Amino acid sequence: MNLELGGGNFDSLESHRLTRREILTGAMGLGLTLTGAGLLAGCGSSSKGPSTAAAAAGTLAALPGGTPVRGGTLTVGVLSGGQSENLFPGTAALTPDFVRDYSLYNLLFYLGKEITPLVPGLALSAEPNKDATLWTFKLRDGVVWHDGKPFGADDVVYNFRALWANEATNFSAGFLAGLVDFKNVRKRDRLTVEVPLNVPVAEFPTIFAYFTFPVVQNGATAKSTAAKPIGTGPFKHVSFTPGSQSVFEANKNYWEPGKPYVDKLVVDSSFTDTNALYNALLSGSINLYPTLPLVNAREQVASKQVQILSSTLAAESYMFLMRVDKGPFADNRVRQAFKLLVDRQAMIDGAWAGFGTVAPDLLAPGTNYYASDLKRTQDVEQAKSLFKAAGVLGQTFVLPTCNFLPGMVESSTILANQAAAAGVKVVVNNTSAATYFTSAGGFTTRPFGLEVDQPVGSLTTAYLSEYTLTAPFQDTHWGHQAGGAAAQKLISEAIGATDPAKAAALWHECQLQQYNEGGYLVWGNLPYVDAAAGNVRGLSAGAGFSYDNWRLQDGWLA
Amino acid sequence: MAVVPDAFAPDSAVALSAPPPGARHPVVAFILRRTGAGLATLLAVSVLIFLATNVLPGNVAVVVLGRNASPANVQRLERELQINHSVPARYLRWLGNAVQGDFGRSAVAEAENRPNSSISSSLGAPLRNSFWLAGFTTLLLIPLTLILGALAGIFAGRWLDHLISLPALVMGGLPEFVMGTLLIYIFFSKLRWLPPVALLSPGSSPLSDPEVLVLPVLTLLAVAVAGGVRQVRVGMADALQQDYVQFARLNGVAERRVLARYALRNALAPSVQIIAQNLQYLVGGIIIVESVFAYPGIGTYLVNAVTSRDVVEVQAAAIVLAALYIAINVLADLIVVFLVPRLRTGMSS
Repeated sequence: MNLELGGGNFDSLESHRLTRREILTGAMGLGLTLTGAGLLAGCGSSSKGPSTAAAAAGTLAALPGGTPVRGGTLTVGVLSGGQSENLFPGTAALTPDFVRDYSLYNLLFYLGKEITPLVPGLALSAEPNKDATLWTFKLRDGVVWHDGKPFGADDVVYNFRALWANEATNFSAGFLAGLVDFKNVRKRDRLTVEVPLNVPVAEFPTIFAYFTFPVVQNGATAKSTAAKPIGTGPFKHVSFTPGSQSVFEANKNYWEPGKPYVDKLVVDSSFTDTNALYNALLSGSINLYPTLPLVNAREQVASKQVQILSSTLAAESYMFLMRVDKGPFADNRVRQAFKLLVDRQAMIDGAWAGFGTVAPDLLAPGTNYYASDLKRTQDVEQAKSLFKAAGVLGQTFVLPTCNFLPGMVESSTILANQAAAAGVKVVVNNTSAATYFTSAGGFTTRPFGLEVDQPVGSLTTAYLSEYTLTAPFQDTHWGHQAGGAAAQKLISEAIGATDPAKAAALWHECQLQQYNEGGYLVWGNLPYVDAAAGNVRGLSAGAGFSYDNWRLQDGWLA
Repeated sequence: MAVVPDAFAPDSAVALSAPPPGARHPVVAFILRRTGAGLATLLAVSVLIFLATNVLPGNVAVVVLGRNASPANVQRLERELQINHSVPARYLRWLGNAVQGDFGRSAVAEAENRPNSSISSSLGAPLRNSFWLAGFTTLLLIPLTLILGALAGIFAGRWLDHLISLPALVMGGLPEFVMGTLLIYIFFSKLRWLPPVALLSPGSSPLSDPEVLVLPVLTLLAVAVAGGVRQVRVGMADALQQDYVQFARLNGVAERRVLARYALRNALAPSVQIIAQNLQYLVGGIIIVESVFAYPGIGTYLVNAVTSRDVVEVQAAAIVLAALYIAINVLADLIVVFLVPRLRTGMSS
């Protein structure tokens, strides 16, 4: 079966996503039961997740539509990243980078509005062999780069071999390390790429919906991109001043017919203060303010001076991490006690102004095989007895935190208050947001801290991101604890399971293990809550990043 | 703090007393001495800035590279930042280049392989923008401080004094971000008269859209004027109590002339120092005000540099701000000498 996702434009693709029946029928025709590409919405024994409720009351899932008006300038305001801002997608780490990357480039696949099914980007389909060790990507025809060259298989092969294999050119190279036989990635024809794997990966294409995998032109490097970025995206580079402003013009040859609607896109990253950003939005100096402070969003839900967009699925996971291999959390009773003592709804109300949904210590809501049967309820008494059994009652735990994303400091403070009721003391140490997620700041080495997971297309991607031995964000050190080898083997088996029933069972076992022994206290899932000025139309919310994967090409000005 | 003799105390001019024959003119000697002291201070500050940004915990290259700190990248950046050289050698090289106007290349831009990362060229626009912000503030600050302070001093204890001094007391106690927010609330949220942010595209001047300057200038002005007015008021009130003022009045000199020629002129010397202090305050206060209004000046530049851990940019911005601070100080001392004849007399008598 060819996992064809759709035709030439996104609008038609939305209505042509494969149904479960089509996929299963096709898969049976191939003699293979596929679980790949995150395309099999609803397959498996578990549902997609707990957070598929409608957008938060008063927020919009989509801005008003109507007949689009062409022209004008769409201005996005974001907090400055200073000189750290860049145009090379593999090393993007800041919001201004994400806005620009999704506007300049395209991914092979995009996360769907509710994570799955995926939406095709530069790849129309991905087809595995029988045991999911060889994947064939069919690329979109008629796509041209901003310099007029045609996009094709050579470009994708270059990204695999030269960039995605190397941690220095892609922060997420660890996802693919050991999985992909990079040397043998090859072009089969102008629009077909074969990717051989060292091990079976049933949901392999879902990895490429992760934000660090926009496709750059064959031969592009960080240096060449810094001087002149060339992409296939809806907007073309005009100017870029890091920490200040970047200007893009509409790509008249964009492959989504008729889009983008605006002539110019400006990303203003000169802001160093969220209040200034908020005022800029209210005054009309900017049109869009992604992930505005949730208190402001709540205020706007009531006052309606601007429009607030919110995804129907809360897909960004917030958690406290506890190292499982050594230190005070090596004893699972301590980890379990922390998981039990938390009043998660109180945390959401206090840290997120009521946005978001509680999470039961599991990652990747909205993905196939998410174990929605697992719930966590607060039990302070049991937490206290576990602390006592572990001999840490009355002990002090230092929690380094920072003000990087909404509610990080607030949730830390709330945890400290709640922990006191269970007989332990948590001392919150507010550190620099600039270095918190760097090795210099203790990232991946600290025993206790905070972590935020971006939405991913599958449990496979989530586990390759956090739990496998090559995972780039391996901060709980899962697999290094006693019995860790068996836990890693279980993950490998789940990743490789092509039979949906078997995959469902294995993934459930993986999640149960995390639920019972894992190092993440995942307390809440937050949707993207974004603001748009009153004159903006056409944009919508989705689980995959602000404005549904930064689809600014849909936006127009009334 | 400025070292300036008290205009009202002739003894304080001892340091400026007449030179031996053949020696340099005392005013010139004073200028040289103050300039020399300013440069020495700047040198000491440069050492502090360099040490503070280089003796940080951890490897600077690792901190700058963040998640991109692969061994190869760390090694490359260490080489470019010359981290492997001794601190004194790096300092001397940095200082030598800075004196020639070359502040090096942005460490983060180097880490990002970005071309055209010269700090000297990227500092120009923010400095110009801040110059306009501080310049307009100063243009209003000086007359307002003097007029309001003098009026409050002349009418000390009366309703005009209270009308000026009470708001000054309140405004002087408010931090810039509170004052800025208050002004935004009044002039944007309520009245919709003025923009709450001062966005400028790269390369454009605030003069092309002067409206954006209004609230930042008002914020700086409110905080700076308030403190200055209270101090000028005290100086004026003191001057009016002096014997020479009483003597002038007893001699039948018109009150307006007494105020202008005797009281105000003598109150002016300490006022210069007060205004100088306010200008120095602007150098620091501008950082917060620029952040509140998203104004792309040197303050925003410095905040960005700190946020992105760009030690080279922090060094450049800090030394430029320190140089401005010291220059204002020295200039104020010189102005006082030229304003108060008695000091010059003291030098040459």
